[in-house]
Amino acid sequence: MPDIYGILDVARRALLTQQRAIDVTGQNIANVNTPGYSRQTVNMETCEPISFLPGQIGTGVRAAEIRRIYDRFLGTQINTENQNSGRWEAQKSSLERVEIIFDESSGYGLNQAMSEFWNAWQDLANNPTGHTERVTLLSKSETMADTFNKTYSDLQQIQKDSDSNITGAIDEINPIAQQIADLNQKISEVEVNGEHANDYRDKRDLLLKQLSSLIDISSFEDDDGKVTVLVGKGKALVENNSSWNLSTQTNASGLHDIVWEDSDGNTVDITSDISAGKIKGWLEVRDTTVPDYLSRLDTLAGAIISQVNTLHSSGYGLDGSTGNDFFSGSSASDIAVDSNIVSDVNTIAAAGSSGGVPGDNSNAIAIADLQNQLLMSSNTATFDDYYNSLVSDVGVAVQEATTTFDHQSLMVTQLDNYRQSVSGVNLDEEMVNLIKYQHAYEAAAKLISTLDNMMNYLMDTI
Amino acid sequence: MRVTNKQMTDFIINNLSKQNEALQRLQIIVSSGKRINKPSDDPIGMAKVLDYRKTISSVDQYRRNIVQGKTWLNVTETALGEIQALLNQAKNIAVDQSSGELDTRSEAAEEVKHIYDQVLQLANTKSGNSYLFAGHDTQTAPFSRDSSYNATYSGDSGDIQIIVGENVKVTINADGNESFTGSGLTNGVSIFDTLRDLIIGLENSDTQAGTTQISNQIASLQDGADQIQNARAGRAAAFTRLDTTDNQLAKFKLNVENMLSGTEGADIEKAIVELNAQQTAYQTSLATAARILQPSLIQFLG
Repeated sequence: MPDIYGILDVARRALLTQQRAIDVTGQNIANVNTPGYSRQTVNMETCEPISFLPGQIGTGVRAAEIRRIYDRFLGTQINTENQNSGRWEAQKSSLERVEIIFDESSGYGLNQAMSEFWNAWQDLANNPTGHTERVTLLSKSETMADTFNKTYSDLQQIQKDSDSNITGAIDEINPIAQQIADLNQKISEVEVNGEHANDYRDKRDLLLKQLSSLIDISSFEDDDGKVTVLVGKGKALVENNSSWNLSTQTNASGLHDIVWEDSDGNTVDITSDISAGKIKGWLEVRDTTVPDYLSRLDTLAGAIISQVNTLHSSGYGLDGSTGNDFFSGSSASDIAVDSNIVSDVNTIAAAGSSGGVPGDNSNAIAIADLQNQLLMSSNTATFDDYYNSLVSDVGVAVQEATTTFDHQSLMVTQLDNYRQSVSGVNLDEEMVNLIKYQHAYEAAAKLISTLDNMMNYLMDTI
Repeated sequence: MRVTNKQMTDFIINNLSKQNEALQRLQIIVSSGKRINKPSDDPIGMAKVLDYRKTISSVDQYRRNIVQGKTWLNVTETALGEIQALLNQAKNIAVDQSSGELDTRSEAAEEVKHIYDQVLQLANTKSGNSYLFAGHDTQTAPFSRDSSYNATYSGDSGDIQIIVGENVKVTINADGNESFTGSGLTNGVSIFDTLRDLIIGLENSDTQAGTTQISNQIASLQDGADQIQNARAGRAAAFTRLDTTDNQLAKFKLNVENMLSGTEGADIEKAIVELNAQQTAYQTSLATAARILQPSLIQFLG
């Protein structure tokens, strides 16, 4: 039966509920800039009414629940796009470094070095007995060989850097998986009581997002609110309250394969099962793109070495020597001017016959002519063509990575934007709410003082 | 759509960074004057640029080769010209002496000996450190004589070529053996033998027989001079060819340079206009950001 104390109770509950709402508003304001935070709201509802004459009478308000406002499908979508964006981001940043190695725009790359090398042979042809021409040729040849060596080792460095990026990412993944497993535990503990683990869920969503930028994951939530995370074609990374570790193993080429460890410590290689995320981008650079460039450099250097050596060893040096190689080595990494040539430039074979020494320049001319012969790509391209197309391909790869990354990151930005639009905090909105709840609080307080007056009056009358 | 504070700040940050990027790109274009500053700016264009650069470098080399060739040919031409003049001088002596001026024969003999040695010296002319008429044997004087004026050739018949274009070569040396001893020529004459025989005739104590010997050399001396003339003509043709090629290469290089700057060069006016527009856009964004970020309902609540 409602009496004056009943109304006091209504006022008390109103005070508490509005205060709770102000608490939540405060939480929203405080977290306006927190990454991954979803704004929260108090759902208020009327208390159980009492039946009385002339009809049911209300018993006030209560805070039914505190919810976060979010779109559950958006999270999955963001994670999917984030995986692709991560993959291309890793490719883009690595390939941009490759591009710097092939930076021919300033004119001091391999293209220039090769031109000067062939030109030096022509200079020698103009004066086959000239010591200056021979020394110049030697130095131009060494420059070209060094440029090959340096380009090759710079590319290898990028390969190694991608590899250490991969091992670094794996080290990053394991604690994240551990945290997700912990949060699974906490969320299920909170939610078993019918509450919403808003902040824990925000935190877990953020961790999943971080994880997805590193590696492709598939995740789903069970009825207890626990999320299962799978990597590399169905290997569990997180399940219930447990997480599994990823680690790396050194493979035959000295690089690292990614393995999944089961609870007994057995390992399964999942390197080839990874299809997105930054790790995929680095894997592609490390295992596909850079090795392709390396092998093309090797092909080019190898062809120059063998073509020049074939002609050179059939020619005759100023000292009458013949059968000498001009270059030693067989690939871009080990090309060098032969030590005989370095110690005595007179062994450079400009003459085509032993009788022709010293004035015969026919062998120097023949070697200089190699520059314009179609000796590469099944006799369809010159050395220069072959190299230029390599540079061009690097440019195309960077362009592709940049365009795709820009597109992917735009999608992520837009999805994030949409998520913000749903879940983000708007301070103006919170200010309005604050005032709204403050007024309600004041009114409830007024109700109490009114009741107080009423009771005083009643007392006085007695 | 609901707009939140973080959305606004993120948006401003994104926009400003994009505009900074565009500003930087334009700045690089304007300061380098190039549209292609890295392979990814235009991969196909970059390959063309490299090809043009290689072509320009080769053309420069061909033109350096031509300068060398022309020097060689100039020296050759001077030497051959002088030899021809000396032979004509010898011929005049022979003509004079064949008409019986007996009292000047010994002076004439001395003069012809002098001519002989001059021709020999000219036949051993060097360009730089190479003998011109020695074939491939450029480090050894090709002609020498013994005390009785018998000349021997110690060079070979090797060609010396220079590269003047892709797979195009020009032979620059004149074959000394051919030009001076007539070896390998139909009806070739040996200049040195002719001069030697003239000397023998002039020195012959039997003046009657000497006169016959002298007059016998007149035709040979003319043939020798013609033979040198032929060699000169051959070198002159080579020189003309080098000259023409050089002019063509100069024009070609200009064309390639035009194509190069057309491919990699930036349209500076356009880039500067774009830079200004971008700058304005950037300033506008900054001003907008300042206006958007400032106000909040808080300021209007008492």
